[in-house]
Amino acid sequence: MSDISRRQFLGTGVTAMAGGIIAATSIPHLAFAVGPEVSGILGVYRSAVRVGGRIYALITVQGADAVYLLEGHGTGRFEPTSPVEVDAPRGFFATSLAAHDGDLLVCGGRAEAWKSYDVDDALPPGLEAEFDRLPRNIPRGGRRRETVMGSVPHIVRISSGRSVQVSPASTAERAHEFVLGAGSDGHGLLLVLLGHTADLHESGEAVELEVGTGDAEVGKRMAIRGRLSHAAYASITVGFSDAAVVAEMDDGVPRIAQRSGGWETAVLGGATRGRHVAVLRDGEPAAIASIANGVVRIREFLDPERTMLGSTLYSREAIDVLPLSGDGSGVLIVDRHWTELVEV
Amino acid sequence: MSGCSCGVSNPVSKDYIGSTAWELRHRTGYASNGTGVHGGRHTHTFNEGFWNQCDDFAEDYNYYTSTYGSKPVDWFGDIGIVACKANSWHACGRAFDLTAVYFTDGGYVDCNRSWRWGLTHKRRYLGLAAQLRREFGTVLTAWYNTAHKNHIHFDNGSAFTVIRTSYRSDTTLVQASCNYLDSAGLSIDGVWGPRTEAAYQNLLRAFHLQCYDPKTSTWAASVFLEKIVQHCYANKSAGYYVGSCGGPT
Ligand SMILES: [Zn+2]
Repeated sequence: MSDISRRQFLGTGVTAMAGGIIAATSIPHLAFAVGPEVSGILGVYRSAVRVGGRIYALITVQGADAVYLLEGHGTGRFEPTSPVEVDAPRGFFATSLAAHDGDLLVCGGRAEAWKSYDVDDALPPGLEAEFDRLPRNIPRGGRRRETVMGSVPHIVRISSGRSVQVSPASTAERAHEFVLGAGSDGHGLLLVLLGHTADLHESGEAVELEVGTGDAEVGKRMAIRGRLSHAAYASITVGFSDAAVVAEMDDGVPRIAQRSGGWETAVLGGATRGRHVAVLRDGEPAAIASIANGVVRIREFLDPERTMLGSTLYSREAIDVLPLSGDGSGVLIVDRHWTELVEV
Repeated sequence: MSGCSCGVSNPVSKDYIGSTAWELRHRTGYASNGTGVHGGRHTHTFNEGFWNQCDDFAEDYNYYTSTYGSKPVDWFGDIGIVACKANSWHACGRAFDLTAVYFTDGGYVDCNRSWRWGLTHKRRYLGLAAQLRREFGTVLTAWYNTAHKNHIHFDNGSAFTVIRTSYRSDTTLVQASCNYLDSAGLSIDGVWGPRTEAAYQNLLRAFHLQCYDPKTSTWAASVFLEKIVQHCYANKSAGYYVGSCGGPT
């Protein structure tokens, strides 16, 4: 694969972040959460996973994604140590980490030209005089070809230190499709959450979700009903026999869909503002961790009403809560100073 | 590239666009009539190049609202610039979610209410979307999908370009223009079919711009959108301001 650029996946030449920590915005937008320092620079924790007893985190530092091994300092606190070498194809963007067969998976998408069309930048005779106010943003050129970029699902599997490229099947009519999350069930089956843009081409943001397997036929995928909100979060938590997708839909309401329920969506009862993720307990998705205004709460969901009983897990100045999938359970709470592993 | 990772390159902190007086205010909720309630002046982090384009947009927009509607800009409302979301231009400060524009006479365009209100407000909303589209390749409105019924999203992931009939965002913008400036009676469904094509040709002729092709020429697309903006803020039906291609046949 000649287009694989061998790089450490970590941007170089980063500078201190001007603007510093950006405060949480109110709904509907999620905070642009900036966590503890990584090599002296503030980083954004995106996802975490436990593989073979080790905890890895996907952290973005100044716009560059990197996977770090986290090292514990007792009392459940962790810090990023060395970056993991990830060989990704050009145009790869990471969304989350997962585990499968003892391997670390870096999930995301790969930019690819989707289509192109001709445009003409020549100023036709007489047209300049038609304007009341001449635009400043159009070049005075001639005909050119405009390429519209799209994206396709892509996973980088780190197996014994080697990067193996995995491209789940994609649907050509969709401009953008990418892996939002993944997880391995008790039978070793890799479940993949895909976000896609359906019939919309303008934006790369996912508007709909599907659950498939790592390499399955497109037709085998299960669609999660409904369209996502503009500030949508969406994640999958895979347990031994069940799995749960939690996402915010375009009416602003968070919903849960479970494998055991045929991926039918249900409103997340008692849900508050902020972000919600399903977390594992005894190997199955059985609780919801929510973060809003710096406070993390953990709630059970009880079938069939899914009434939630809340308890405060962390009330200091949490920035984000990441479900810890892979082997074991718990959540990784990111605050401004450290990350903390909390069993649930 | 179709989005970016979480982090703003060339960040600038700004609490205005266009003129320092045109402050950015954050929407915190809604009034009982559906218009947004906004707080005081606040600061956002933008990618510098994107902010410069927002600055150009605001100056141009104020020119049209002032010249054609006697409505100088007072302030802009928003619900955010940066959000760490997969494959989004928001992730690097190159997208803006606009909630309202208030004018110095107390008038406004509200992105949750104006598009579903009376003709004057529908035209103001349309004029705002059309002027944004003259600056940015991607402008997503309430007509585009329900996720944008309470704000207009715009980003500079793609540069200003021609009217794209296969794009839902451009098709709904043209359908709304045909309806609210030329009484076309189309359903704003985002599908460019024969009825939309006929209404679009009628609108071009009403503007006396039928000798240009906004579907292939970027300059023609810009002048077509300018005509929409002029009519929207003058609150006139198509044909009040005309180009030089001759009258309707
Ligand atoms: Zn937006």
